[in-house]
Amino acid sequence: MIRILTRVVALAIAALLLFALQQTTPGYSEITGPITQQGVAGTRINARSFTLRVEKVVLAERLRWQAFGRSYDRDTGGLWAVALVEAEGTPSTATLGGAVWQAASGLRFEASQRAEQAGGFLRGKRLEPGLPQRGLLIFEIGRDAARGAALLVSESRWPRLDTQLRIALPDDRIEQAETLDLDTLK
Amino acid sequence: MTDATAAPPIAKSPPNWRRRCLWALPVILPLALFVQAREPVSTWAGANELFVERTPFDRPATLAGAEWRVVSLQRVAERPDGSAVALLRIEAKVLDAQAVAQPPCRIALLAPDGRRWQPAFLTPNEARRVLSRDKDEGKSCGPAFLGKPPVGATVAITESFILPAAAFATADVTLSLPASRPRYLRFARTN
Repeated sequence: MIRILTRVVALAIAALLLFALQQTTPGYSEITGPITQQGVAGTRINARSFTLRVEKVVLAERLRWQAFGRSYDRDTGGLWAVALVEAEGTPSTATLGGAVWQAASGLRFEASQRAEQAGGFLRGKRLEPGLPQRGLLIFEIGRDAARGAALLVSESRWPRLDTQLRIALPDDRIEQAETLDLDTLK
Repeated sequence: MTDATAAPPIAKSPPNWRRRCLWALPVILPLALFVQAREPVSTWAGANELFVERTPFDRPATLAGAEWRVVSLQRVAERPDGSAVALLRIEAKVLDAQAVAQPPCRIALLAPDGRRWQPAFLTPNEARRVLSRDKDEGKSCGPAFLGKPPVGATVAITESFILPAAAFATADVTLSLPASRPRYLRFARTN
């Protein structure tokens, strides 16, 4: 009788274990998702194919820059967040394809295409080893997304099984401006 | 009457299949892993440059259906930011028209410390001026083989690079094609 009872208990435990394994198995997209590398603004952080350092972030109501012989002005319903970064491909030539502003609430803002003509816009630019480049990552964000945010930067726009830097942006690295002239940041 | 001296038949115990199956696991598991992983591993190896074939910079070498020769590696300009624009000219004498025409071919400059520079996507102005002066079409590796050159033809390939000026003197040229990978050629400045 005890023997039978032991077997039944062992079977129940095995079934329970299998059920727990089934419930906690991560999905395919999670298994093959980005590999997050944590960092903080001001320090140099290494990804698989590039290194990056966020010098500072400027929040502004309006952007201004010169390109193609004329002046451009852009305003926004929210805020412009301009990150001044230094990046280098390592050990091989790389391209920064993914740049996302992640708010504390989890909302994500892709780098703005409205400011792509600005000189020094770094997304999509080639980064050569040994030639660190200073440049800008520009986002258009909601007013409540400015504090406690992080930058997500990766080589491809939707990284799979590849590094994605998650760079925390402490308040002492954030500046404010009414109108930001991007040409003064270079 | 029965023969009392005949020996009784020995009772043979049934085979212990549970034990046999357990013993088979160390063989079957690696075998299953090998069968499952063979294709992805081969695809991965075919996409990477793993085994180097070193050759002196000024000597031709055969790889993936062609005889390759570095014609020149010139520093055509230096920029104020410390970078240099390099222009690489390579010739390929076709030995196997099918193998050599499989894209994509990969050409890069490789420093002794492992840094690797890929060809510029758009030819820099400094290199374009030199090409125009030399009346060179400046075809990079992919377009150069688009016309499927026949066996015996010599194909001229030009690539331009942007790299630190200090790294130019020691950078080797590496080259690989789908038909060669995971093997690749390294035209080394020094042996």
